[in-house]
Amino acid sequence: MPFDVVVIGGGVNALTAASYLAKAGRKVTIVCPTDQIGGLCSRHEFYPGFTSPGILYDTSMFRSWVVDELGLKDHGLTYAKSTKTLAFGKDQHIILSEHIDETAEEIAKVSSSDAKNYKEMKAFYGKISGPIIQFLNTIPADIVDPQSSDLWSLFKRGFQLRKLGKKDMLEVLRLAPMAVYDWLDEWFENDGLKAALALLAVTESYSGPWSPGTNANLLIQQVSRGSSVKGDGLALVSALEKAAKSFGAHFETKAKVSAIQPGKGVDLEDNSFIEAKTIVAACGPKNVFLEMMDARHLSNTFEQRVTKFRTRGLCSQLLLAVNKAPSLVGNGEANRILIAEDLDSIERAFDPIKYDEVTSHPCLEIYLPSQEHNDLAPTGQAVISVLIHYTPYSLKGGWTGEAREKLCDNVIETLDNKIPGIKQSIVGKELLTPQDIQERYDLSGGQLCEGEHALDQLLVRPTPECSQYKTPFDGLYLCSGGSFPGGGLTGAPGALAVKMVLRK
Amino acid sequence: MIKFVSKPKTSSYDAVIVGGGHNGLVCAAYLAKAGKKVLVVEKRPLVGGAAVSEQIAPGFIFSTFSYVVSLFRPHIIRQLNLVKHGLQIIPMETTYNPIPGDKGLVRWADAGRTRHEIARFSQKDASLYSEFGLAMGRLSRFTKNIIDTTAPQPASLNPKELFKLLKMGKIFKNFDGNMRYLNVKLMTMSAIDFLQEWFESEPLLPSMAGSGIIGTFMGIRSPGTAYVLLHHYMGEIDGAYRAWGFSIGGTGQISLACAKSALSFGAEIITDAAVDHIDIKNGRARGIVLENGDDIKAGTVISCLDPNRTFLKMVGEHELSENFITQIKRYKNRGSSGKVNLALSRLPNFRDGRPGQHHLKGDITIAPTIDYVERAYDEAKYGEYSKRPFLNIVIPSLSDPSVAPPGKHVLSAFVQYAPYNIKEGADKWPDKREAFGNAVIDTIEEYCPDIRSCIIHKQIISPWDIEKMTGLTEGNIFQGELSLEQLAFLRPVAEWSRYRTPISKLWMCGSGTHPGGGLMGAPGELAAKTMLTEGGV
Amino acid sequence: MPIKSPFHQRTSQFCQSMNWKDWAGYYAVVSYDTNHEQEYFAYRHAAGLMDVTPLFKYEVTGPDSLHLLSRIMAKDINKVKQGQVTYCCWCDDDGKILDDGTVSCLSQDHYRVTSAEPVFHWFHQNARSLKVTIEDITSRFGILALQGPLSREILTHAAGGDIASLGFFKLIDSTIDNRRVTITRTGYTGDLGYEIWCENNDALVVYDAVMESGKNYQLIPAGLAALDVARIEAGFIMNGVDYFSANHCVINSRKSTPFELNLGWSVNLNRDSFIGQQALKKEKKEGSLWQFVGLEYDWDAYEKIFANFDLPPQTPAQAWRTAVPVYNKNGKQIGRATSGAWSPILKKNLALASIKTGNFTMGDTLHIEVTAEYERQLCPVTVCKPMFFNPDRKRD
Repeated sequence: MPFDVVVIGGGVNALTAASYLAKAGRKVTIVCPTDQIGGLCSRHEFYPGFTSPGILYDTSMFRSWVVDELGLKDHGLTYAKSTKTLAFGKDQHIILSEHIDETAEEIAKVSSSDAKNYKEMKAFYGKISGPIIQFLNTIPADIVDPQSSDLWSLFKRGFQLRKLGKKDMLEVLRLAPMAVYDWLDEWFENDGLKAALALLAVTESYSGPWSPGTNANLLIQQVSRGSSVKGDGLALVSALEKAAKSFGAHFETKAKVSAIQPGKGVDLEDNSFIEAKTIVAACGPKNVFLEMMDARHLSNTFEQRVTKFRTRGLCSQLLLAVNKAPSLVGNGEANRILIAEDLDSIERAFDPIKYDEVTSHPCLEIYLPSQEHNDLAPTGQAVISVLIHYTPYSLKGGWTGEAREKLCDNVIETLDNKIPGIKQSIVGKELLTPQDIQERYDLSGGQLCEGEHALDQLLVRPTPECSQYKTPFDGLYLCSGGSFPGGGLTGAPGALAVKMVLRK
Repeated sequence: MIKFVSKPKTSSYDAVIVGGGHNGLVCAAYLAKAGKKVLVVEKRPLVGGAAVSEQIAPGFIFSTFSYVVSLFRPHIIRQLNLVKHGLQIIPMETTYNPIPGDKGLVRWADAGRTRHEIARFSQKDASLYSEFGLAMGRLSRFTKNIIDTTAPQPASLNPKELFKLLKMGKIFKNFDGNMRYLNVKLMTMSAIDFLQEWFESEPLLPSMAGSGIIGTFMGIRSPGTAYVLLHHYMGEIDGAYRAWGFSIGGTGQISLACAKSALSFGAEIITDAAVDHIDIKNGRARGIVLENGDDIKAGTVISCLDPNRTFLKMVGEHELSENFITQIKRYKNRGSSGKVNLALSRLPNFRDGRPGQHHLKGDITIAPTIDYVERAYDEAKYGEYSKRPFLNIVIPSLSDPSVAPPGKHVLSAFVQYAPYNIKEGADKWPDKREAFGNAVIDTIEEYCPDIRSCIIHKQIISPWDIEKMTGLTEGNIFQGELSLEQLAFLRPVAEWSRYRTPISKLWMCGSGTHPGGGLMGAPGELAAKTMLTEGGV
Repeated sequence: MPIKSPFHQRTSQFCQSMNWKDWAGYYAVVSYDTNHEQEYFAYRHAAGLMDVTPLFKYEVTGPDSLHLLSRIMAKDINKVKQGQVTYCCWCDDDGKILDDGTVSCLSQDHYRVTSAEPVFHWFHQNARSLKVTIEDITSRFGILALQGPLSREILTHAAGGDIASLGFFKLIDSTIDNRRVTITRTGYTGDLGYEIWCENNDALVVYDAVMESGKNYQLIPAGLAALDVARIEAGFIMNGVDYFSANHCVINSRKSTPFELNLGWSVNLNRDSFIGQQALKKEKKEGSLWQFVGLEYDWDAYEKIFANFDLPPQTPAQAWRTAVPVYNKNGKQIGRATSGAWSPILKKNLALASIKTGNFTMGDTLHIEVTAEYERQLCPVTVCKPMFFNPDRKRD
């Protein structure tokens, strides 16, 4: 029985795309390679009785217009009142949230001038956010082979930017290629604050805070952050799944695609065939073109470009099963923790991966899911997800048992320093290196954004032929984080790709 | 030789140029050629700024700081008759990457020979090398357009500016898709990431990438370093075979030729004359005051100094808005490099088994692996000089025997990284200088075990010394980091990228303005031409 | 500095004229004598021996060799049987020609490719996920081209095996003076001829043996200048002269396609996919922009141009390769002649040219620029197929 569209993948972008397509009246099936829907926010038991919430959790950049258009609120999606992040610096901590005044008050405890500047910086982002948000929520112009519509769209973007006024326009052009180090240095004095703001912006690409271009990522994050979904990534996936089903999308789990036949359908590993004229791939571009397609169908130029798309993983996940929930400073309201002393310590954590080594002082991004999801761990116990920045994809000497143990020890030590007693409470753990992440989630290089967020890879993502979700093959579209505007739980690639699909 | 005096002939000029760097001299020459009464005021006894040659040991002439001619604009040579005034540039033919215990890699002017050399390390790279050169040559047309005109102003609504943007857009449009894509990548990527899309082998990769980081406080993995690679391919569109060369008699000869040209057009140059401050009244520059108290009136004052020095020292914060001061203060100077100049009793032995000395005549790059260069940067980030630095060595006496006594040689090593702000504090550089010099010589010794026995005299220059000697803030040889946010319409700061300043009748013409540093002469020329067309002088 | 081929010791001994050039990074003899005429006539009347080692040589081995070559080459390599050599060209995605050369099939998983330019990276790029090894063997092997009507006799004398019945574009493994060689019946002179591959270490022995066998057949060493005249007579195109590899073209208009170079016969469109297939299919359907033709100068007119200056007709001493404009009757430029020569045996002035489609038909008279006594003149030329000399003995 043929479908109109088959969506490959099971993550947020796949679900978003499928929902939109089904809503538009297409007969859609999702083929999800694993038994759990959710992609990078899918569950798996990593220790008896303890379940991982997946790797990604931050939903603050999930587009509100997608929520509205798909009516996700009717499917159980609610927003959290406030999402607090506990940022540990050296001998200090700050609690950050999306509430500017509240955060400024927190910052004032470590620096009053930074508190003032924080408000100013937020005001500045607010002022310039218009054209940037618009840019991030539109099908990107093809700047490599521009048609007149692309030129018009570029002109419009330029005009919107110009409308900010000469001074702000020039400031946007100045700040985008900067290193976050320099930018934050211009605003703030407190090391812990700078590190907390920088950490999430630099870890999406092969870069540290000293790397030029990282400020563009900070800018994008700062202007697109809003409220988080209550229950984070898992709750978002469940709302999307319900929405997709309500529109009539069909689900096929544990279905691994072995080959794509553009315009015809997909072959599954169990030798079955799903017929569909349109294929929307919510998996990484390298997976699509280098693994699921016959090399002979790719032109040399295209194949080279896909091969050169940079997908170097730089982050590992350590899942901890603990027998008692960690006690945190600040009333335990925060369910995410950042540990990075200062910008240099992030840079120093980045340095070794260039030589395929790993730092002994990692920076950590911690998520405590059990507060929202009490089914992940037995009562009174908890799951902690720790993202370790940075770790190389291939470690010199290999990711041996010894190397993994050493990394875990370093992480747990760092953790125990900030959250005393956590070490004793650990009953089980699982470490996923970039190689493991690649293996488990089918992510090329274990790159969590399905492609580094470097400037060139944001402007033309992933290749000129595919920068507008179309591909050189009729009926095949891309909609993963490997497409504009990039990785993370934004729903934007999924939603924008569908616009392109429906345009045809 | 020309003798300079330290007293001006009169006390009033159309234009007074503060600082006798090569850009100041070029600017002076163009203004004088247009009939203006021009005075150049230089604090040191010799002109040239960072482009000077000095006899440090008897018979040995060192190009103290700037050591090769990179992209000196050919039309300036033509328009200012610089050859008549003694300029002679001989191209550097080879690039040599020594490897201890190996023949290393030499890239020659001869394509076939270069291919054979590269093939020792990678067949693939060898067969791609010339194609890469072609693609770069094509793209450099775009760059040439940028460096030979004043910076385009994207925020401007002036039709002239929009037309300029359109023209650049047209060049971009005329590229095919592949070239456009390459251009996007080139403008944003790191040198190594970009090169790794083409090549796979060391030492080819680090040696090529090295040219992307010279003078910057960035590593070969830092995004934004790729576009500098283009500069190496610009020679062809300038009508020359090679972009890089030595100036006969040392780099200072370029400055001297510019000075003579300026004098021939009627400009005046005084040396040993330090400027105390620029005289400003009611937001308008009126002239300069020398340290000896002399007052010189000028219709226009032009600063060839870096932006930091110009505004914070020569103008003074009280004359400027807070916003402008903030912008100038955050303008990054960050000196990152030093120099070690050696007078040698004989040519050191590179132990590479290569016959003759032909392969040593060009530049010798110490960058054996990608990691080597990147580690050098890592050390610098945290305020230490690289223990094993990236070196760009030249032995100009092999091409120009006039700079050393017969049979003897001068070796000049450009050292990266040597951060100005070492963690002990910049003013502790004098205590570290000797150790720094030793690290450089130790590095050279790994390739030429006999280097120490050849040394007659050495001159070690840290970025702190560069600042002390030339006045360049933080010893930055480009008058400010060449990072994307400090280029073109953002150099030195937004809205003041057209050589004008917030002070009326005060202009800039140094490397701190578009198109930036390097021995190009372009900022000086473009500043002069802008002033002449816009009634600045 | 160029490097020396394994035959250098001999070629330098014979090269009395000291007339050398750099060919792909190797020293190559332009002409052994100060005048190349002798060598040219050796190619056409007896035999000439030329060192063609500088050709780029690649070995492709492994189970997917055929797969790789059929993906790269415009010709269907599946049809090439063991012991066969084929001439082919290869293109980029847009169907623009990258290079031309020969593919020899030693066995179904062992091929040798020659090319004018280094192509290692191109082969390598297209070998993703294939079980194939590509090796640059340029500096491992020497090649001698033995060309001319008497080459068969000479080689039969010099080499083991059945040379006499070795067919056109066939190869055999053989021995010369007990050294292993591979002999292909191929060449660039458009005449009967062979090419002999040997390992570097055997090069001098093989060279001497061939020369020794050639003693009674007036075999002489011959150089590039003579070859250039011969290849123009045969209408063989040359990379870098008659066309430019797409990889080396700064502008698109400079690129060519196989159809535009009269190589359509070597393109097999209807088969499994190969690089450039789509574009070439389109071109086949829509027609080509250019056509590659031969031009024969009108001798009387040519003579007259010079006679006007009271001069005898001056023919070029060597083959020329600086392009000259070609005009139609109305004086509009419609193409360019890319190389040409005076053919000593045909007694004709010849040129190879690219002319815009639609401006002529075969047999038409066009005009080519000729400079006589520093003045530019137009000389009528007749358009013909680009093959002026094609003796039966080449294939027999």
